[in-house]
Amino acid sequence: MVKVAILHEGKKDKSDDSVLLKLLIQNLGYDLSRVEFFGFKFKSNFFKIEDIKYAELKLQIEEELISRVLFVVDADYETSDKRYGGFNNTENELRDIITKLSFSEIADIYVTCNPQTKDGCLESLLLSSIPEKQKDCIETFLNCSEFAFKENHKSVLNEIYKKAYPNAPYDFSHINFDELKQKLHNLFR
Amino acid sequence: MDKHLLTEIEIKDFKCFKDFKADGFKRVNLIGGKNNVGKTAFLEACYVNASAKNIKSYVGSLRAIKVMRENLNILSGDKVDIKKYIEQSKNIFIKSNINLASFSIKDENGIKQYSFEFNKQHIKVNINDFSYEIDYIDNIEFIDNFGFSNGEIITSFSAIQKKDEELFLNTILNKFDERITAFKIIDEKPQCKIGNEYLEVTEFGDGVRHLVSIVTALYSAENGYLFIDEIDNGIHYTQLDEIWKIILEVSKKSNVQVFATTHSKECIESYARVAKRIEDKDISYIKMSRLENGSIKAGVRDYEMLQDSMDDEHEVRGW
Repeated sequence: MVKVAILHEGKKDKSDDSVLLKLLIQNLGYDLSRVEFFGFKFKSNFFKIEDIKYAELKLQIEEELISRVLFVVDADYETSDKRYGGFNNTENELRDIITKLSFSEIADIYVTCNPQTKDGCLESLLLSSIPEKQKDCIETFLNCSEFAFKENHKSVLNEIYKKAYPNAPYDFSHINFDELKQKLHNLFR
Repeated sequence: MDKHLLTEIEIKDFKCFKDFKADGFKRVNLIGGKNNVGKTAFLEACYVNASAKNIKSYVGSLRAIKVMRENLNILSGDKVDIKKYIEQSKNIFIKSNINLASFSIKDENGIKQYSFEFNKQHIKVNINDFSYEIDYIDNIEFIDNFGFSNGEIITSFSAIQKKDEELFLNTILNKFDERITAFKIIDEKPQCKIGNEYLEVTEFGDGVRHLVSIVTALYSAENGYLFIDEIDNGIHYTQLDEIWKIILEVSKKSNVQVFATTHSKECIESYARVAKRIEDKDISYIKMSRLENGSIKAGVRDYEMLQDSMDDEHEVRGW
């Protein structure tokens, strides 16, 4: 069976990114066993051409075991990282590494963010899919609390989202998931 | 890296290989992949390449791989016609970092000649003058999926005796089957002691013969090469860690390069696990795959890649 690959942040099978992606893939009716997940742990690893995950992926592509690849990477914030932070920087740097890897013909990119502000991470996408009033409450809470560090911030957001949102875990019918859904359709086509 | 180690190979017109290249081999190499993808043929090509030191050893290696393939037929009375097989093997080209072994049949002015190239020599011999004599290189061993014959075990066991390592073999056999307390050659037959009596190796399951073959060959192939087809044949998966530990440790001590094939996921996992536990990074895992265009690809994973693939539970046998 020829598979597709999804490259994401965090550890394989243990990150929020892979949990969301698996739920969405199943929601779209695709067979999860057709996907090989590659957990790159940190965003910075995506930009290292010598990363061992790329070596394995390249071999599997050469062995004709994987036919298409989707990169799912957080946009983060340009203010915190001028080179790799923010939607455009992330997308441009990913395109660059994809070219260097000679994956251009088989790879696509989904930069995870709040589609309105074009920054943030998976949790920003999730929050963008809940009603304004509830989102305001969460943001007010975060602003008034000490959850300022990014990693804490992400996990707290995720927990709040799961508890606060009535359609938890995810409302895949929301328009903000459409782009990711389309990317997955293209991946499996 | 030791100069005698075979690290890269190019194979043309040999069995299922039309035009094949692979590199990145280490001291110990495990080869996996689906059925009929060329795992044994790859071992055989490496074996022929390493063995081609002179015409006799070259022809001997070609004969040996034929005999191993024909084992069952030979038992039922068939004979290996070495002349016929040599002629079937024309146009072989096997080049590695340690040797070039090629063989073809030329027809010059109506005179048929065997043309050999090996060890930086180019030799042409008229077919009518060819003796078909064979020889084997002492420290190049090939264990097929049946294990060594009694004669081969006896020869290899003498290497253990020369190193005074009989007790080591006894300990390994005792771990494998706690009833076995000693191994000896008695009346020119390999025998294991159970209780107060010695029983011929043939009285035990395939695993004992395979294990004795592997351990003795690790000594007899000192400074050379050991090729093992279907390494886990007859061996329960719970014993694999112990066997890999022996292979990794003794091959390092004896300076033996090992190539082994398997179909088993447990065997690959055990290999990676033991290498990690004893911190032996001089290993590779070679996955053979047949591509859509019919060619064969060897995906060579070094220690780090293999460990990472195992951690991420990537399917390394091929799907």
